[in-house]
Amino acid sequence: MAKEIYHRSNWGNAVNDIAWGDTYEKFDATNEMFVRSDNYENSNETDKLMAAINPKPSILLTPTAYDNGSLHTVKPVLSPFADFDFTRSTTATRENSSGNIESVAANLPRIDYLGGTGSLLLEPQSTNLVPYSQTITEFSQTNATLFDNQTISPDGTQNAGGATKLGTNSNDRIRETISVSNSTVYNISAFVKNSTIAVGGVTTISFRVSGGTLFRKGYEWGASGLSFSSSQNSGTRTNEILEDYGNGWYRIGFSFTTNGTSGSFEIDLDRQNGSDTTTLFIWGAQLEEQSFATSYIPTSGSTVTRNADAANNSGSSDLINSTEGVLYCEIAALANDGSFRVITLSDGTSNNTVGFVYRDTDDQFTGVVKSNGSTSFSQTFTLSNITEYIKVALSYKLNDFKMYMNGSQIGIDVSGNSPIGLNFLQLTDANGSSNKFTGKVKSVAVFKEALTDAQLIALTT
Amino acid sequence: MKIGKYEFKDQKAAEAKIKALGVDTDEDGNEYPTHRHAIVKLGHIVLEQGEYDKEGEVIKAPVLSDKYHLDVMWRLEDTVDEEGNVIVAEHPYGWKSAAVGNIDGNGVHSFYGVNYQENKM
Repeated sequence: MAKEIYHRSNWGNAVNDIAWGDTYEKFDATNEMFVRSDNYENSNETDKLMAAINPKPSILLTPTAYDNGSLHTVKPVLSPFADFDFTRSTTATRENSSGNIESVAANLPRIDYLGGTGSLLLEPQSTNLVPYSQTITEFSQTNATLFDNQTISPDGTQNAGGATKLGTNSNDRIRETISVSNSTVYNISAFVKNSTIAVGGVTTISFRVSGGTLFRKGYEWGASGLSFSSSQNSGTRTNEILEDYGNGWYRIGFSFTTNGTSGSFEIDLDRQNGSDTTTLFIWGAQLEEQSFATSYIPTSGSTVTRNADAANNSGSSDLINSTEGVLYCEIAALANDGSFRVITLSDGTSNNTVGFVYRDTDDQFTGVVKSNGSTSFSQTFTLSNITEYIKVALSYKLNDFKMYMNGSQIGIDVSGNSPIGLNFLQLTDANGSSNKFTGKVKSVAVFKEALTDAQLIALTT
Repeated sequence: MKIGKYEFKDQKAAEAKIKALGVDTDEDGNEYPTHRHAIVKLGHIVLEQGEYDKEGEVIKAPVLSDKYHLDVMWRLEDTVDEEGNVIVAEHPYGWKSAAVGNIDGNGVHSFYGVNYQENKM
């Protein structure tokens, strides 16, 4: 039985002594959202925050509940709901609330718990070019003994293999040759867990371009886990990652630009202690044409593609006020990836919009309002770290536009017209197709009235 | 949903066919597809693996296809007409001639969780 979260039918009418956002078991639930949702999860603190804000939004996505092809909003309470259409025509993976990587069926939204709290994960299409991502004995080796299925992997089952050094030298490694496109950005990643490598040992992950550059990043094993190493690094790398998946597992990797048409995916077991005969567990090898690591895509004999996520077609003119209102989001980008990623209120065209944009320029974020084709408000802000969550609100009203982020006002304009005919809320451009929002979403809300400075500060703090 | 596997004489021919499915330009000047099919550019796929030394340098180069390959997940479905006859979804106009013949299993590429043999055009 799924858990019910105390909201939706009780929103704004908290007669129950259970706090907003708390989770409790309710086996005879009559809550409409609970009843009509196949999947119901606690998105943690977000609805507590939103419950403390008055006035209440007309549309609220936390996210919490979802079905095949649909992402349910917490508000409105009654039909017609403002649920998002959701598509992703392939299976995908997420980290579930238990901390395990699990597959999620096609057309089901993913609430991902990497980092501890749940958020909607929206990713671009990507292909894992490593044909055997978790069958380590399918890799080639240099002075190493390979094995499969020896320990519990990040998916919670005993399907992780690894390799043991023969102690020949620091080049004891696993490797796999893969064809790539020249002058193209790729991301390499894998999950690793220490078995017997000594403290101070350095494991590296590399892509060695045939006739070109060795791109390599070192990671040092310490008494309490893994850290970036200042040694054994080579080539120009971006978006380096070191993510703790629990139970001793870490995801490591980076992005690079190829200078050849093939290369070798390599993991050197311990470059610091060449003569040691120690063991490293390895799982989930991934090479993808991306500027950052996307969620794990398992393979077993061929390259495999996960299709893009898309959520759109929420809203209606009854729920969105064109004359005045607020668009609020608690979101984070996945990386600086050179793309536009957009969330919009619109009339279905780019002429009338209220929107937030992660821009193609690194760390830049824009709030914009357009009325009848003219820009009424536009404010671009440079974020300190695009992958950190921001709480951002844009209040619009004739000659009264304000943008707040994380409790501070970052933009104001006292002239300009309100948009006209707003009736769509989409995690894309106004056309519903281009500049899909890729990132993490904890909340999207629409208010039918402009909020005061104090309310905007409270909302975004 | 249907899956098609295709080969074209070169990348330019493949890109032209993709573009013909529909593109538009947003207000920032960036082209975006107006269709909702998922296209994976496999390029010149490896027909015969190469041989490499311990440092990854080529001993014997891999044999690559001289064709440029695409896999496409079409947002198309078989339909049923008024007499109850199943109308099988066809390759979009101009794509059939580029379709690859029989392939074992999923071939060199698959869409996650989708069996090619059960969904091929």
